[in-house]
Amino acid sequence: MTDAQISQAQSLAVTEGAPDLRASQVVPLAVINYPSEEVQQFQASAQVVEKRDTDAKVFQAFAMVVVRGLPEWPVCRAWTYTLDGHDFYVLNLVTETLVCDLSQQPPAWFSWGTGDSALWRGWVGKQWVAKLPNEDAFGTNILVGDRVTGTLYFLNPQLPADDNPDFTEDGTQPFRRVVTGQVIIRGRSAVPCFGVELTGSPPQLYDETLNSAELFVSDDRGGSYVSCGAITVEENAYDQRFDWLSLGSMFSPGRLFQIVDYGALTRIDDLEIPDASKP
Amino acid sequence: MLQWADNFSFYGSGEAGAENMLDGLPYSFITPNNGNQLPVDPDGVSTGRVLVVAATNNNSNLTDSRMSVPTPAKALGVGARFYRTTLPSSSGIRPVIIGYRSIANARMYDLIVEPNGALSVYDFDSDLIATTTIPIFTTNTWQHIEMLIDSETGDIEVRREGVPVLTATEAVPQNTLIGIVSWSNRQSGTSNTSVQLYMKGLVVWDKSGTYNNDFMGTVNVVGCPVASDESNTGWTPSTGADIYALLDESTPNDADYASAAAAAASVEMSLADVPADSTSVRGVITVVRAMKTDGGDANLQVSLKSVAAYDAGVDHAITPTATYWWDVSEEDPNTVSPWTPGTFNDASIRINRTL
Repeated sequence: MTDAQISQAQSLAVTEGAPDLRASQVVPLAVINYPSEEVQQFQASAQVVEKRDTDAKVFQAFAMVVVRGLPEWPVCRAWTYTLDGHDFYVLNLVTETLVCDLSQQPPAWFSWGTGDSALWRGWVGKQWVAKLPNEDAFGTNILVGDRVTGTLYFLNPQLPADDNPDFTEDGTQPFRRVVTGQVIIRGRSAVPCFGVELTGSPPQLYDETLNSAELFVSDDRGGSYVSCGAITVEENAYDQRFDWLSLGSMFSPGRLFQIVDYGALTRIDDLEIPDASKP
Repeated sequence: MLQWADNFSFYGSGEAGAENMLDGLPYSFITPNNGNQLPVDPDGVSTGRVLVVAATNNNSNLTDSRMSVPTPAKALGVGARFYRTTLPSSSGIRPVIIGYRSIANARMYDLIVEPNGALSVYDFDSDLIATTTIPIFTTNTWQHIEMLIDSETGDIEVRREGVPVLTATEAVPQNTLIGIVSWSNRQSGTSNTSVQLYMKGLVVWDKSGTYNNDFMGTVNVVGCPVASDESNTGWTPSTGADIYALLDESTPNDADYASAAAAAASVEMSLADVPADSTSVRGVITVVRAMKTDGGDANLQVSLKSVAAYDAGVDHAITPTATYWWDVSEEDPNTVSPWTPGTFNDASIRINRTL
């Protein structure tokens, strides 16, 4: 077969004379799935429902106790007894207990208390006239009712401390003992007081924790007292000295000396100023 | 039954924060008095603080200071020590030393000091029910006054220092629950006075229960803070080694505390003794100031321990604000009889975190 060669070919079409249709640009638009280039996360969290304990804090704890007691009992009591030939008149006030020794001339008033209190536990009492079976063992026939517990006591002047007011408890309760004396100074001159010496019975400690005797002095008629120090009492030290030294000067009208102990001294004989100049 | 007692010596004296004594206590309103509701004792001898009832303005409140009765009752007793420097000079400023109000704060009964010192009881219309006529109230001294009224029967009795001074029966008993106890130093809400009414040793009781269902007598209220640690499991001191040392404050300090991170924590502490001249104990109110650090479960239970027996208080669901939580104990759980000075002195307080 030879080759067929055509140099020109035209086709003629019958048209309706419409204008040319010209398209200068063809842009096909396609709908496709197109992924983002990246995803950025700024926060991630999970809300979890849990049961969690919190701290409990306590700032303060106390009890308020509704009590009855003697301070709420504004009643005065008076009673009497006789001991060692002395007639005593006991006056229990609301705030303190006063005792008068009617056998002294003039009658002397004392302040009695239990422990450090200004009130004595012996609220009321009675001289038991009838002979008691064990009166000697009790010490006296003076029966006393405790103002707090209702316990009954027999007064025993031989003992240096009170029994425990709760009869179910052992032990004793020492009480504060105060002896006061004075030196009178006349004139306008100061009198030196180089020291004082106390003479008393050999120490018999009833309570080893209350083993001191303390000296106080007052230069303002008892308005205020200054401690001159406490001396520790040594048990069975029969030669122990009780000296308080360098006590300054005394002026008119004088100086009060006061010895305070809780049973460390069984008896006080005197308190001397050995080197004092005679006023 | 003992409902409440207070000696006012463990709170702050201000009105905000830890100083506010209203947090959790039954007091619903205490009249501010220059920012100090709890001054020192005015007698110059006694120690401790007292509640001052003041009128600082001419408002028309029915009452100046008041507390909500923890368990409203138709028969209620209130006792306290009262102190004033002067008697009232006119009718409008007669002090209401004990006022009973309904739960809705409507006036029921007023115990009033007359200008001559007599004590009178007035009803809801301020009509006189009964008066002592003769002077009873004295100035510049503390006096214990207690009033017991049964609104159901109308029976009224007032005692001073334990001695009956006024008895009466209301013609038509009001028969209403007493829900509020109030105090005021002026009878009229539109009158004003600078004379203060002081109060301490407050006791509130009703006629129910086995104990404390009649006049209490001249009782006093003694504050006994914790004194030493006895045992501890789970409680951690915020500073130092001892729990009690952080809780024994007479004025609350919320900066130091004991904390428990989990339930079952338990601490037992001794309490300070009552005074040696106490003859009997009528009841004990235990109080703790506590909070939880966040919302959630946290319960506290306070108990009194006697020998090996416990008198457990209410299991309190505490809140995230420092609050006083309190319980009443009238009976020694060991002897199953009223507390005595001896058994109380030997007792301990236990604080349990139960939840």
